[in-house]
Formats: sequence, C-alpha cells, structure tokens
Amino acid sequence: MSSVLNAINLRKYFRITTGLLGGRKYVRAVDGVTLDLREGEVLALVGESGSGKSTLGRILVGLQRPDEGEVLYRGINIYSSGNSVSKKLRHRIQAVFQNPDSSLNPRMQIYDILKEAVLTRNPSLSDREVIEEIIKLLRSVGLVEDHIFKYPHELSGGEKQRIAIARALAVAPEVLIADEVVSALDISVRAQVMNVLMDVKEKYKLSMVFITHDMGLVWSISDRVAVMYLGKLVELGPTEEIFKEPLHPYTKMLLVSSPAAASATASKDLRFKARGEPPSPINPPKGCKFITRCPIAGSECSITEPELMEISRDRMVSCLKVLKI
Amino acid sequence: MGEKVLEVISLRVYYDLPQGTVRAVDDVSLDVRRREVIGIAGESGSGKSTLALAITGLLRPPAKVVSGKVLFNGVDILRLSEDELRRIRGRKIGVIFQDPNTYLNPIYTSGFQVAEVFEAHRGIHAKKYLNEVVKLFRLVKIADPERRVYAYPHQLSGGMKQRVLISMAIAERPDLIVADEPTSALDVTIQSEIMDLLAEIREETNTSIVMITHDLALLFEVADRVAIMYAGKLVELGRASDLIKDPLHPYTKALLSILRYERKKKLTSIPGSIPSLINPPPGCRFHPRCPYAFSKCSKIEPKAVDIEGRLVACHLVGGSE
Repeated sequence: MSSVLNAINLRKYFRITTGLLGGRKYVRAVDGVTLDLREGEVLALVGESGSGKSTLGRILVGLQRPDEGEVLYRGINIYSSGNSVSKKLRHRIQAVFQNPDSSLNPRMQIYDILKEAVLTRNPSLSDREVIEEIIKLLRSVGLVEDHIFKYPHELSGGEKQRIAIARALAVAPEVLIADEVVSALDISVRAQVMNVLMDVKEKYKLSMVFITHDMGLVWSISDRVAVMYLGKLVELGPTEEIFKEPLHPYTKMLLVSSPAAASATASKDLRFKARGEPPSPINPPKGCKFITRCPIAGSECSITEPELMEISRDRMVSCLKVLKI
Repeated sequence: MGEKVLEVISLRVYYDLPQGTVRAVDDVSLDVRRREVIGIAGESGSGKSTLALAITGLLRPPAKVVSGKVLFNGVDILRLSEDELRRIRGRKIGVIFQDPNTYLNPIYTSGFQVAEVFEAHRGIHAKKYLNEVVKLFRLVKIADPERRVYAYPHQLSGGMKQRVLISMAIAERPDLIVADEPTSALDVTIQSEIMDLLAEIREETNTSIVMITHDLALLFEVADRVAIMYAGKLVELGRASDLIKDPLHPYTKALLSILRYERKKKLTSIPGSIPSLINPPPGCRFHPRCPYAFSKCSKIEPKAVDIEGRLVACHLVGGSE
C-alpha cells in the first residue's frame, strides 16, 4: 500500500519564558515523530492531553510549520516553499476540528461559508453551479437544502459539525485530519456524525488521520493506531493487533483505563491501571519518558531513551522491556 | 436495601425564560440509599444538572420549583432557608462539579480553601485546620500533601485540582456526595483514578454518591443503580447490571447499542435530535425518535411502572394502560 502522507522526523518545540528573569524553556510538543498515512486508511492518533497529538495534526494539515523534519504529500514536501503551504497542496489536505463554533464564521450563512470553499477550488463556476455544488455537499453530509440560508447559531452542534465536514470536502481533498470531531457532541448525535464521516470517507476516497481520546471509536473505525506520549510515538500498529495484544505499557494503561474500550480489548491486566499524571513536557524525565508511571520500568529505563523499533511486521514499539535490549 | 438518604418526589423544576417555560425537570422521582452509588445519565438538555442543583439546594432564578419535594434525611431541602441550607451543604451534602477552575479561587492556596470548609462549619480561623487538610489531601492521594497545601490552583494539574475539590466535598464526612460530571474534563487515565478514589471514599466513609454524567460507559462501571433521563423525564431506573443486560426502555436500548462498538460497522445512531424543553413533544417525549413508537405514544404520556424493582416509563413495557 502506498503512502499519501509521510511525516519524517517532525519536531516542534514551543518556546516559553518562565518568570521575570526566567531563561528560555521549551515545551517539546512534537519530538521526533516519523509516521506514514496510507492510501485509504483511517489512522487513529491517540494519547492524553498534552501528548502532542493535536500539534502533530496541525503540522500534517499545513497549519504549523515544524522546527525540523518534513511532511511529504505524495513525495512533495508541503513546507518547502517560502512561508506558507501552497494553495494546491492545502486543498489536498483538509482538517475538521473539535469545536465548530470557532471554525464557522457566525456572521456568514451556510451558503456563504460553503460558497467560499467551492469557489476556491473552482473560481469559474456560475451562481447556479455553485448552488448545485453546495446542495450536493449538504446532502453528502446528511443535511437538506433548508439549511442553506441559515446561520451557524441556528444549527445544532451535530449539524454545525456536518457543515465543517462539508466545507472540508468542498475542495475535494484526499487527506482529512479529523481532530476530536465528535468529542463535544452528545452520544446520540455523535454516532450520526461518525457515520457521516465514514460515509464521506468512502465516497470521496479519503485517507484519514483520526485524532481522538475515545478508544471505543478507535476500535470501531480505525485501521491502524498510533499512540503518542509526551511528543513521541510509543506504539504503532494495526488496530486489531493493538487491542488484542498491546505492547507498550502506556498503550495498556490507556486500554485498561477506558470504559469504552472494555468490550473491545483483551487487555485487562490491572497492573497497568493508571497511576499518576504525565510529567511536565517542559522537564520530561531522563531516559524513557513514561518511566514515572510505568509499572514495569527497570533501572535501564532511566538511562536509555528507547527508540521506536519494528518488533514484528507492521508493528512498532518503543520500550526497552518489550524490545529486550 | 439500606435506608433512604435522599428522596426526590415528583419534582418539577421549570425555568421561566422570555422564549417560554423550559421544563427542565418534569415529574422526576428517585431515592438514594445509604452507601449507594447512583448514576444519573442523560444527554445535554435532559435535566440532569438541574436535578443536581435541586438536590444540593443550589437552584437560583430563573429556575423555580413548581412542585415536588427533595427529602434529605427526611427534611425537605426545597423549604429550607439559605442559612439552614448552608449548614447542610458542605457538611452533610458534599458537591463536586465538572470544572475545578471555576470553583477554586486562584488567589488563595488550595489548602487554605479546603480549610475554609472547616472554618465555615466549626468556626475558628481556617489556618488552625491546615493539619486536617494535610490528612485530607493524603486521603485523596495528593502526593506530597505537606507541600501541596501551600500550592495555588494554577500550580496544580487538572486531576490534582479535582482531588482538591473532592477533599473539600468529603471534609466534613457528608452523608451524600453529589458529583456532576466530575471527570468529564479529564483524560481517561486520570478519570479512572478519580473514580477509584471515589469508590474508596465510599468504602471508608459510608457515604452515598449521586453521580451525574453523560458518559454511560463510565457510569455502568461505577454505579450500583442507574437512572436514565431524557428531555426532563426519568425514563428508566434500575440496577446497573440489570439495565446493561436487559434494557427495557427504547432510549436505554439505543444508548447501550451505541456503546457496543463493533469493528468496522456503522455505529448505531438515534435519528433526530434532542427536543426543545420549551415545546417538548406531546405524549412520550422520545416518540419522534423511537423506532417502536405507535399511535398511543404521541398522545398519552407513559407513567413509570415498577417491574421487579425497575422503573420504566414506556407504553410497550408493563401494563401501563
């Protein structure tokens, strides 16, 4: 299977100043991540808040230039040209975020919001063609023409999120980065929007990075899972294998702690029940960053930082205990 | 079956708004027994948070109690004066809310704010109680409690702040803790720790817990009994294990099937959206979204019937003729 997107050794540090005379310190939001998105797959990106998954998503969609590393879309580095990502490439990679209220302009009718997107792709369309295109988009996300002259505040949360999806589709992307798209929605509506998302994924032949903390949804829709902890990938592999036999202790912790994953995972080892909180990403511990919460850490873990290594076909993990180095 | 700590009887709480009257809690009855964890689940607009406010005596205008009682140890909370309430709330009823940032004052140390709970109920200056606060912090598993009592809220993580709030809620060993979405703002890993902590506190202090959340999967893990609310109504109430095995109300059924995540299958969804509580649908409020609805459902409101200890409000269940 070929890759649509390759992230190579991405690094993004955010500088923060501490105190009046405080020196420079950095939050290592993304710290050396290499990852590929394959044609037609759903890659779930999971981790706690502060793990860097959203920053990684923003880098992949072209919204955040990395300090180091590159993002290749079908072999072309999206950050190669000058300051901003070229328009053509931006159309190939689209994003939908958690909160539609901050991504939809409250002063624009749905018609104008979608028209803007439709015209960026094809500025020569007539008014009539624009309307037809908009109606097609609305239908593909399960809405009807009635919505066309409404303002965002007249829509429910689920409907607004559908508009955000429709707008992303308007430029005919190949890659969709979905960052916690249903987290703010009620459970009965969440399922509707997820089904819309999966429908359009098939219809528009999208490849998708699905950023979430909901392990139930990960199980339900993803082909592969990438687990992030403090800016690093700690495990990567096919969803079924990861749920059946998670390797990294952090992956085990996520699965054991998540009630939504209970029916899907075979991992019930209570040793891995969550304990403690992630350390500050400004001063991560030496060696393995998970050491402060790991129930199986040994003395070697505080010295050497493990690298993400292939342990079997298609499965990568970064844990000294698992890799038995 | 233990004695009843709390009894909500035919409670109706409405909000008078310019747009109309919002019937947020509309004829809800339930009881909470000693040492029990009762979960109240519902989506936004189900009335679950209004119910929490009523139980804790925190309803403020435009909310008004139209009818019903909230008996706490036999005393109707809704009839008490603010002074009388203050003697109960914080002492006999502990409250934990979703966002600790809203409830912690950023300019006082966390320890001082917990000590204020003691001051409020026992007098003497808060500072005298710092030792007790250290003990409490140890109980809620805040690491390094001797130092953390001097920490300001911004120096603590989200999970830690929630622990501080929990320590406030349990400071006076209340009979009842009302927790409204206590972990919804936290990561699953931290959430599971906080839930374990609440379970331990229940074991140690014999308190009852009313847990309100939209997170059903979580609720079924921690609650002894679960009440499902929809659009201001209680639609089903029963033992968590019974509900999960054999849900009776179509809404409960739908919610549970959403939670059964199947690999690479369409998620079960409930068509339509949550109704407005200003103009709720006539008859059964769930009928426009219900796959089993028949003519009666849009006309007559189903009464809750008791089926072997389980309450269900649905025309399809029991003899609600």
